[in-house]
Amino acid sequence: MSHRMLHRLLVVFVVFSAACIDDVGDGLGYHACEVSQSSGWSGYGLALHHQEPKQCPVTFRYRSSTFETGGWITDNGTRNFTFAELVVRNSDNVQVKWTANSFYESVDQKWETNLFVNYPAATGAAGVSGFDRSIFRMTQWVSGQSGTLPSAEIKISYRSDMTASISGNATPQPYETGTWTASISGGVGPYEYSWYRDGAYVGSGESYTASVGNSRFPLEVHVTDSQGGRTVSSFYVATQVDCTQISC
Amino acid sequence: MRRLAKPFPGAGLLPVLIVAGLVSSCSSDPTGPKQVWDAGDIRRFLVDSLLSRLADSGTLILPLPEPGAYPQMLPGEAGELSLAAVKIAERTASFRDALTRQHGRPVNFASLVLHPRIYFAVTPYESLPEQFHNGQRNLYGPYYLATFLSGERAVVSVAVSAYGEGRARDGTIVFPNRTPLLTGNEFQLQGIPFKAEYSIPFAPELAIRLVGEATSSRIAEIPVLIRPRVTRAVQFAHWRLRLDRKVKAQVRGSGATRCSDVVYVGLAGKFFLAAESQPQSEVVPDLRGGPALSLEIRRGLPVDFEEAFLTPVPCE
Repeated sequence: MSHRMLHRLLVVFVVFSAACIDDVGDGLGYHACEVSQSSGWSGYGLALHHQEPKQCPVTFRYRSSTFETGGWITDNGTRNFTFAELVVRNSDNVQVKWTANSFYESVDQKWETNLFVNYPAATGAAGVSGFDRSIFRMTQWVSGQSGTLPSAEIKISYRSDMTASISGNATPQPYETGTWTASISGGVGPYEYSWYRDGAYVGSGESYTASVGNSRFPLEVHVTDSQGGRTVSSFYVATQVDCTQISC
Repeated sequence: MRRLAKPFPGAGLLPVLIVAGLVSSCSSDPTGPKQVWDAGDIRRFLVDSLLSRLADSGTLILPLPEPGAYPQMLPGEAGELSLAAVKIAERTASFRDALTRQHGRPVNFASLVLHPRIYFAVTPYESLPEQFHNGQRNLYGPYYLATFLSGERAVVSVAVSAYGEGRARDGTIVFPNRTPLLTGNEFQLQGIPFKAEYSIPFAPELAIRLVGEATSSRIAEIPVLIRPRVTRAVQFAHWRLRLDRKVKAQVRGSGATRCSDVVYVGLAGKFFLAAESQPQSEVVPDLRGGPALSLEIRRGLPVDFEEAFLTPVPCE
């Protein structure tokens, strides 16, 4: 076996080893979404396998779509935990779901629970561009004392399956009147359009028509479909400004 | 080969669930032990007044659940929810893994059929006040137990909280439109060990036959299924059987002899007596931040049991 092959094998081994160490380190056996906070898992023999969503970002169709989040929690250690809670908060930090399941002894003598919820996705103002959070916490109940440890917070991000694009003259002459048109792919019609020129709202409708003046400006169209799905597209209008007359 | 128990006559609304459910391919594994379903003729194990409670099929007509402290779903709704829960389990890796581990081999979801008999397990706990989290109220409340078969083999047991607010719709579970929505402990799914020659729960007719044979006594009341302590899966529920006389029983482990006319049949058809010392209450933390509550345990509904050998020896 050549040195190069040995090196490749070693790299593969190191990569796999690192993945395993990471799984154990935060107490989470699997998580497709980013873990923004995790604490208190070590020493309890607790393992949270965050099974849903299976991939992040989650493809987003429309606001309030029902998605699942949750996982399976096994306590191989102290068996001192009574409840596992899962709170779902949207991008406005509004709690949209709070489920509490008990740990219990299963028929094969495991001490475990599952936490799965359906929740209305992306109900916060940020919608598809923001993220919801799954917050897991365990409740311990020993000798009449309750506490809340450990915990984990998982960010559920979204990806819109609706896209928009703007077509029109990108390099008009000064004071020319131009028309720019939005094209939509995906989503569910009818669509609502909001046009923004240099950040200011300038109109609605599938197209925007205006004089370009003698300035260059960004044009944005914000599209909302009938289901509340949103997407944004931008376009830069580079008016052919006469640079001999004014500074450019 | 023993035949599958005929459907419970009181479950007349349920055949639609079976049709709506997962279609059986009769693919039970022929190599494993056959499960015992048919208790045969149990009339000689019943007092005369209970004979009228036997359906033509030989199964007991169990009473409908009594109203609880909170709105309670009907058995048919519990069956529909159990179907939805199994559908969710089928597409969720961790559920599939757990059921496979408990069953002892992969669960063939496509072959599962909901058994038409859905049992109601009463709770030994008094009701939690309304201010407690719904997940806690469900946990301490009554449950239904539904069984899914593959061929004649019991494969998956689903416990459905009778107080749960979710309802099955188009194969999924829909909850009331509230924000925030407080839920929890609506279901407990358990894989039934492949090698087990029993269902979960044990059929009441089989419990009657086993106890009748062991004690040479007759059963004097319709059996009542009692859910276990909240620290154990609902599938550990016990049938309470009242005999027409007291018999001697020996407590397993201690060897102590006791006399009782009430015996319990638990998982795998094991016999139990109520432990002589029962807790009066259980401390429940308030997840919503209020003070913990000492929740009373109802009289006559034990939470602690001792496994026992039953004898036909009468007691004074």
